[in-house]
Parts: sequence; structure tokens; C-alpha cells
Amino acid sequence: MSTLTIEKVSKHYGKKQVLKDISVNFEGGKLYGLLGRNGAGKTTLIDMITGKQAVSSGQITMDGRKAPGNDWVQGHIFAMGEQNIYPEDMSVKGVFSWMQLRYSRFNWDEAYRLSRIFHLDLKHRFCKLSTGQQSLVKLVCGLALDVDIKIFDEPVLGLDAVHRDVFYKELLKSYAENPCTVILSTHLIEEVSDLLERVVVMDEGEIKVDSAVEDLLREAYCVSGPRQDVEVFVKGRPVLETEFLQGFASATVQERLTEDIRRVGEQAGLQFAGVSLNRLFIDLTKEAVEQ
Amino acid sequence: MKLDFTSEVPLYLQIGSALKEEILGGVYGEEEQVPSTTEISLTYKINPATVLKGYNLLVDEEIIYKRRGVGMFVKTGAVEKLKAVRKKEFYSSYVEPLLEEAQRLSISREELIAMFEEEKE
Repeated sequence: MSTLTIEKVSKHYGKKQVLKDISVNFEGGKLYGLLGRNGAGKTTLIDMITGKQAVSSGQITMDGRKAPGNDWVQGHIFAMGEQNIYPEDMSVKGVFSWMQLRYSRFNWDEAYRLSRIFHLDLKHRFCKLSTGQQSLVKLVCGLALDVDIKIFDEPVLGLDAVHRDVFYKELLKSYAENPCTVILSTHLIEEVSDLLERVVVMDEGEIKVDSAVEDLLREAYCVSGPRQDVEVFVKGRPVLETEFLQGFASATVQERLTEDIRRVGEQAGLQFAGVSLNRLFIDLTKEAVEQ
Repeated sequence: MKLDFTSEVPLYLQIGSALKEEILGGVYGEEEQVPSTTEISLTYKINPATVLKGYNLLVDEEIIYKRRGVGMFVKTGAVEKLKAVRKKEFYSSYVEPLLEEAQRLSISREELIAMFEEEKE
């Protein structure tokens, strides 16, 4: 299985630096979440992996081979993005044929099966489809392909709740049948948090988190109770965020909840809970708001 | 399998506990096959590595075992083993909290015993 390595990659647009010397490894056979707020640099990174944009400095390699500009490597990477790259009069079936040409290992039976599930008409022209239906066609392409690295950038854009649910299941199914490295870039964190093995969080052009989801969640907790008691308890601790509701307070703390810490808190009458990936993401990436 | 996606308990631990619960409850008998990790992964939309980690807890405790190319099966003696562990934990998990709560509510020893006697009939 193939590992994708990003090494000290930077990207400038004129004076603006959108990626700041980032390094990250997408290990073979793992399912990654690539998370970040709008403008964090996710799509720029993906475009550089697929060679759509040039790197300003640094290296992107798949198993040691330079990825951008190498047709052989690119034949092993599927990237689904928002942009549509197909000719105007191309039918849905035409899009599939195009995939077959580009990537050889395209499973037509699987494409037909998924098209039926998603109610896609193969004769329809791609450009006439709604945003959601266009997303579905691209998803079918990604799911029916057997490649080493699959990148989905906002895969569920315009999809209804049922189709999103079906996509997540089908993604896990294809991942089980043809193990590969999956990078899922999405804003719907709550929906995917249990799907992911690892998470990479980008913030303002930098890698803020690169961790197994389980480890990340273990290194944080939420403590709540009467305001004064919470304030005393969190003093000197790495607090990410505190919310107040009259006399009540709830704080997200970024450290492991050990038995000792729990005992101290519970003796003070405080309550502990876990933190969701979505909550942690918000607390880690939101800018400080002037009160 | 009953899983709580909002719980602070990591999913792999929940999967391990839920599977034990089902084996103890007789959902899967000894030498019977348990659902594959892929089935659990697809049904609950959980990363397969997480499911496998939960299953491996039971493999390590010799509750389930892998038949190559077939799947995971409940080991003979698994139910007895699970019961023995539960019995050991019974006092701390059930009796202690019961007595603590009784004390908080000023329920006397006699009243407690009377409740148990009543339950028997």
C-alpha cells in the first residue's frame, strides 16, 4: 500500500503564503480526515498532490516517487474535487469511460450498481445534472476505482441525508474490498468522525493536528459545574474554551483525563465528559474573539 | 450491538463490551460465528481499525478466536470465563453502589433485606 509524503511544502500566491512549510505523511491503507476551515489550504494541498497547481517549494512523493507531473503516479491517485473537468456534452456513462481510460482499473459492475442505488441515469449529460447529482457521479467514479490513493474533497456537497449515509457505507465497503489510502476532506465532521482512523487539521496554511482520532480525543475532556469551582479547577490547565451560562461553566481542557484529575474535580463537585471531534475542531481552529 | 456515540468511552472499548454482553446473553453460542469486523464497520459506519481493536480485546482474553479464511468464533468455555469475571466485579459494580445509595437515603439494613425478600416471592 502506498504512502503519500508531503515534505516542507510551501505555496505562495504573490506575497500571500497559503501553505507554510508543511510536512505530513498519509500512510498506506489508512482512512484520513483532512479538516480545516474555509481558506485553511486543504484544496490547495490536494491540487498540488494531483499536479493541478505547482508547489512553490518542498516535495510531494508517493512511495518515494515525485507525484506532481508524473503520469504513472497520477494513475494511482484519484482526486474528486468541486471543479468539473468533463466536456460539456459528455454523458454520465461517458464520464465512466473517461475514468476507465485514465485509470485502467475501473469496475463497471460496481459503477452500474452504485448508479442504480443513487438513481443516476447514465444517458444524462453530466453538465445538466444538479450539484448533488454531479457529486454522486464523481463519488461513483471514486468508489468504482481500484487505486492506491483516493482523495475526496467535499464529497457530499449537495447530497441529501440518505445519500450521504449511503456514501459513507459504500466508502467503507470499497475500502474493505480494495484497501487503499483515503483522504476525506469535509466540513461535516460529526458525520465522519467515527469513520476516520487519523485526522489532519489544517489551520491558516499550517498543520495544526496530525494524530489518530482516538489519541486526539483521549487528550481532551470537558469539565462543568458551578462557575467559581470550574474557574478554580482549570487554573493553570491548558484550557481551549470556556462557556458560561449564568452561574454555570463548562470548559474544554486539552490534557489527558487521569484518575487523579478526575478525583480532584469530582471532590469539588464537578462533572466530566468526553469531547467530540467536532467540538475539539471548533475550539482548536476558531480565532480569539474580542469580548 | 448497542453503542453510544456520544459517550466518552472510546468506541473500541464499547465494541468489546457489547460483544461480551451478547456472548454472555447467548446471542452467539460457543463455537458459533460472530459478525465480521467489516459487517460491524459498515452497519455502524465505524472505521474498521477501530472495530478490529475492539475484537482483539476479546481475542487476547481468549473469548473469541479466528478461523483463518472463515471469520471469528466464540471459544468453548467463553461464557463461563465471562461469568467468572463478572462475578468478581459484582460486589464493586452493584453491591457497593447499592449500599452507598441506601445510606444516603437512610434505608436501614432491615428495610434492604425486606426488599430482597419481597423480590424473591
